[in-house]
This record gives sequence, structure tokens and C-alpha cells, in this order.
Amino acid sequence: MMSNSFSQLLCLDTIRNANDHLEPGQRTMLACENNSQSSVKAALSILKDHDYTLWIELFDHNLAERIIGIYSDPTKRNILLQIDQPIAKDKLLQKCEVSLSSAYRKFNELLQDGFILPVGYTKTEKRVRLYDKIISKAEFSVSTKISQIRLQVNLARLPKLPIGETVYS
Amino acid sequence: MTAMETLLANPFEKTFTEFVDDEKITQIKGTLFEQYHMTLTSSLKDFEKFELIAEQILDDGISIIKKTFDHICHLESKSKNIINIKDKSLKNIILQSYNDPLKKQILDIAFDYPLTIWEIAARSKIGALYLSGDISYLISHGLLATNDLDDSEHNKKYYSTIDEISVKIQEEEFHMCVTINEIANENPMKIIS
Repeated sequence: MMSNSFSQLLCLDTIRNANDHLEPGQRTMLACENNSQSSVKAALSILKDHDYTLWIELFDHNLAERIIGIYSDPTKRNILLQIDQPIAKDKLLQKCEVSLSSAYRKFNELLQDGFILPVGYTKTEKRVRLYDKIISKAEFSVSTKISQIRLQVNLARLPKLPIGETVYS
Repeated sequence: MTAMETLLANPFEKTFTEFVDDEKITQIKGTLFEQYHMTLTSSLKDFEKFELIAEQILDDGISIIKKTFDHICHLESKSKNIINIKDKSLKNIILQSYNDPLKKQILDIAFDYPLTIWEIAARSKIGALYLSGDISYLISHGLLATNDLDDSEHNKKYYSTIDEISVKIQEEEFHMCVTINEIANENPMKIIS
């Protein structure tokens, strides 16, 4: 599970806040505490794109490596790749074609880390919770010197407030 | 032996043996051993020898080799030594290795110039015994290459085959391009260029 500082920096509120206050083409920077030097350092920047997306670029090496670690895990990556619309957990994990126990564990980790969000329920008689991802694209590079990563948030897929109460037909 | 040959040897063998029937594979293996005292896997790391024998035994050797390469990778930029990796298991091995702190440390140490296993262990300050499993994994999966084919295992110098990895994950697609490390070869891309 990610540390609180990371969760606080890249939580849904941060994304909503950036969306509300940025005009297309504008960028904002977020900083985090540098524990070793008791100072503040740039952690990430958020750029609002013209085509209704936000690009989050991570500058902090440890944060970048943590996110790259999530996408480097084949099961977690497979789960994320299978989500193309709000989907029930069981249906999603069956699509992944990996052992169910491992898939459930990885799904829960993704949920805790905020990569998957509960966004609502099915319209059916037996209400089933649906999940979605907000990161629609991840691009990263790894070399001996530096790891870089940027993430694209599709604003059209930000869950409506109150989170998780929407009913999907 | 180039970095590219080493990196692609395992997926090449797996895919090539799917395209060619068992009898022909046995014939290729036998001829490689008779003429060069090599296994199929080692010949793939010394590709000219494999190519020569495959062309002797298979009528359409060149086209099967080309088809195999098309299946596992695509040349993105010859001048920048960039290939797009299509083989799923190679993509997983690369990402998981670079995400493992010990394996990443070994690959970083062996990046600038070839080093013996003992030199890598000394620079890591972890100890050869502790690193041996990871080093052997990286060698067997083609992430560490050597040019010292005739030297003893004790003296062989290894280097990282990859310079940089670039990944794009979008919708249902997962793309990976790697820049091949050119420190030990003049033309690391020669087998597919």
C-alpha cells in the first residue's frame, strides 16, 4: 500500500481540484516533504489538456518507481488493461484469466492504492458494485540514470459525487 | 554475439520451434552440434552460425527466420538501436527484472562496461553468493550478455543488453520499446537490420 503522503498528493480530491481550477493548457505543481533534508521538493505536475484530460508527471524518483512497480506486476497490469468501462469485480477478474485468489489479492491492492475506484451499482434487481479506473494511459521509461512516468486521467471517467452511488444501466 | 542476439535468443527459440516441425528441429540441433559443438540456444546467441545451418536444412529458412522475428519484435529505429518487443513473456521478464531492486542494481552496475561476475558482486557490496541467483536469472533470460565465449566462466565479462525501456499502457494495449546497449558491439542490431 502506498504511503499517506503519496495518497494525499494523488488522491481524487487533488485531481478534482486541479480540474476545477485549471484552464486548458495550464499547469500546476505539487510538492512533498523531503524527509532526509527537512525541505520541500517538487513531486508532481498536473497539466490540463485541451481534449478533456489531465496529464500527471511525477518528478519524485521514489513515487515514480512505486507506480512503475504497479504497472510492472503482470496481474495488476492485466486487471487494469481489462477495464474499459465500469465493471463488476467478478466479471473483471474472470476476464483476466489468472488464478482467482491471486487476482482478488491484486485487485484489493489496486483498490487500496486508488488505481481502481468503486463508481456505482448495476441497475439490476440485485445491485452489484461496479469499479472503474481513472488512469487511462501510463507512459514510463526506465534506465540506469532515471525513471520517468506520466499518467493521463480521463476527466470524463471521474466518478460523480457522491462516489460510488451512481446506478449504471 | 551481440546484445540483441542475446536478448532475443529465448523468445526466438520458442517461436521458431512452433513454426518448424520436430524432425527438422532435431536435424538443425544435430548439425549445429556436429559442425560447431553448439546447442540451439547458444547458436542463437551467435546468430550467423544458426542462420547458416537453418538455411541448409530448411527450404524456406530465410522466410521462417523473418517470420519468427516479425512475431517477437519490430525494428523501430536502426540508428537509435530501438526495437519494439512484441513477445509477451519477454516484456514481462524485462519489466519484472527492472522492477526488482537487486536485479536492477546488477543491470545498472554492468551498464557502462563489461564486468566479471566477481566484479559485479564486489561493486554491489552484497556478495557473490547472495547475488548468484539473480545474476544467473539475468544471464539465462538474455538481460546480461557476454562476448567472451571461449573464456572460463570465472573470467567471462558480462554487460547489460538494454540501455533504456520505454512503456506505453493505453486502453487494452501494452507497448514496450527497448534501446539496445551498444557498448560491446559496433552494430548490435545486425540480426534484424
